[in-house]
Amino acid sequence: MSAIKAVVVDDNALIRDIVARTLDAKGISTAEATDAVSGYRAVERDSPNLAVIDVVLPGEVDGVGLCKLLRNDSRYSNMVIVMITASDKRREAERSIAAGADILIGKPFSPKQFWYQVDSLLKDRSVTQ
Amino acid sequence: MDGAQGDIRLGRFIHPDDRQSFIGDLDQACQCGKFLERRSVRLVASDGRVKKVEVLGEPRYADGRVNGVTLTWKDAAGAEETRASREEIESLHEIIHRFVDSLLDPVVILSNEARIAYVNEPCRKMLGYGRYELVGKPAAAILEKDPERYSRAMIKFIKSIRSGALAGASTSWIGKKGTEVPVTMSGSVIRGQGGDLMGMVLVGRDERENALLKDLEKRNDELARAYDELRRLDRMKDDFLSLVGHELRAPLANILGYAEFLSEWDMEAEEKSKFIKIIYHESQRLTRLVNDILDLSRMEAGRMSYQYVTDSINRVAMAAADGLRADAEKKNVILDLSLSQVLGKAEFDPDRIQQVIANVIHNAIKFTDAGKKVTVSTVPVEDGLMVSVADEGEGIDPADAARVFNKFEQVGDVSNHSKGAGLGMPIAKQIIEEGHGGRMWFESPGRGLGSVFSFTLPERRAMK
Repeated sequence: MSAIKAVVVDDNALIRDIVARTLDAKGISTAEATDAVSGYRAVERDSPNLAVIDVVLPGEVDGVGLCKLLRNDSRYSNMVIVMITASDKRREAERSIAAGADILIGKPFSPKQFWYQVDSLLKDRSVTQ
Repeated sequence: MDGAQGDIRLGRFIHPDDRQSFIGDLDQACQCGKFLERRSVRLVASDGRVKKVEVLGEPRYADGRVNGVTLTWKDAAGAEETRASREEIESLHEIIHRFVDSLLDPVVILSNEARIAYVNEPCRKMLGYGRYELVGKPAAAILEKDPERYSRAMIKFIKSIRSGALAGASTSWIGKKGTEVPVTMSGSVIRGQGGDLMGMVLVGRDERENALLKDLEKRNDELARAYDELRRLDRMKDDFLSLVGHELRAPLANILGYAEFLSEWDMEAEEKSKFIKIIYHESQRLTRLVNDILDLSRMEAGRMSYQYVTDSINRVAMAAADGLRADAEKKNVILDLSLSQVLGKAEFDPDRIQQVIANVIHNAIKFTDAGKKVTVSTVPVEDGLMVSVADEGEGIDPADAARVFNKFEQVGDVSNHSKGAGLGMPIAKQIIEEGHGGRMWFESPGRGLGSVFSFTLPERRAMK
């Protein structure tokens, strides 16, 4: 179970901190990134089992773009991708799911609920043995 | 012509197809003493030519009984031709009347004596006359009431008779009840084959309808524009709502996350205190945003209230700056005050004005890099006082200038949302202009060159 790794990509430092703390508490080591480019580098470096990506990211590529990029890469086809957003969830859901995300979670979210959903996705992928 | 003898001899001249029926009619005339009236029959000449004739038969009497019929005939071709051409002319006349009636514009046909020979349906309708009321009346009956204008119109009319056409003269025609109907009149002269004057056709365009049409078109355009504007506003309102939603959810997410950690986890006192500070800070951010939204909705509803008191603008400016000194220091931005010493007290709502100044300083710090300066100054101006906040920050692109004070439009793209919903400036402008009768504006040489936000408070509230 110690093998599980995650990357969280969000320009909001407090959200990154909340996600990292929540995952750390479950024994998942989490790398942080603030935009799509550094997020993509972190994924290439760590090959995580889980990526948590905010829909709105600063710079040329947003969270949906990053999600599409990762999902279309055969190296990460088994990776669980969780999108998060503070925008209207109904507006963003279609785009996120079309880009290959496993789930879109709206902010604000309870860390406990967040973990509950992420955990079941990881189990579906047989990531947790 | 007598009896059956005559029948046989006569029969030779009658066209075989007509022979039997004609002789039948003739027999009947002989037996009953009936007149034959304009009986049409074809005769065949000895050279074989067929000629159509009209026959009149008058019974002849002897001793009280009919003993024969006197027949007179005349060439029918000429008569039929005349009848046919008369019918043709009548039907042509009918066509012309119907055509003239079917025109949408009023038409008047004048005789060569300038009397009305015909007015079409739209003209009768426009002037309120019955079908034959105008026929035979002089043209002046409908053309013009004012003598001066009448003579001018007549001169034009006479000239037009000479030249043969009259185009687009603005005049008015007189209705039955004496009302003047503005028309644009065109006309042309009708001349006979020999060039002699037969009359004139006048066509008027009812300018009332034209004006109505133009008005309708204008209103239609206005409505289309209003609709586009509403749609634009509607989209902006949607964007605004989603922006506000985003801005509210972001601090809430932080509060909810750390509050849950605090309530569910065991942790060191130091960490606990750090989480509490985050929650406190995020709650303040949320409070500011909620207050801004409430202010805006109060302003929209016209329910914003002000408590005007006599106070010192310098005191209020200092209080606003003091409240943001910690933020400036944290970002290593120099916050400088340059306050006029000749300004006395003025009448305004100190809480609202402090809110405005704090908002502008807050923005200035936000867009200014470390080591650069933000200067707050107060100066007397001709019609009151002026407060300015100058920064050495990003500046504002002139293209974005108009959007700074618009509550629905956030300068920059969605990825800059973390910098705030941008409600502060529209609120500040409203407080200054609607609440205090002042003016608020900004100047910026462009991106990267800093900006100066200023507002004035007018003399009537800026009393010494």
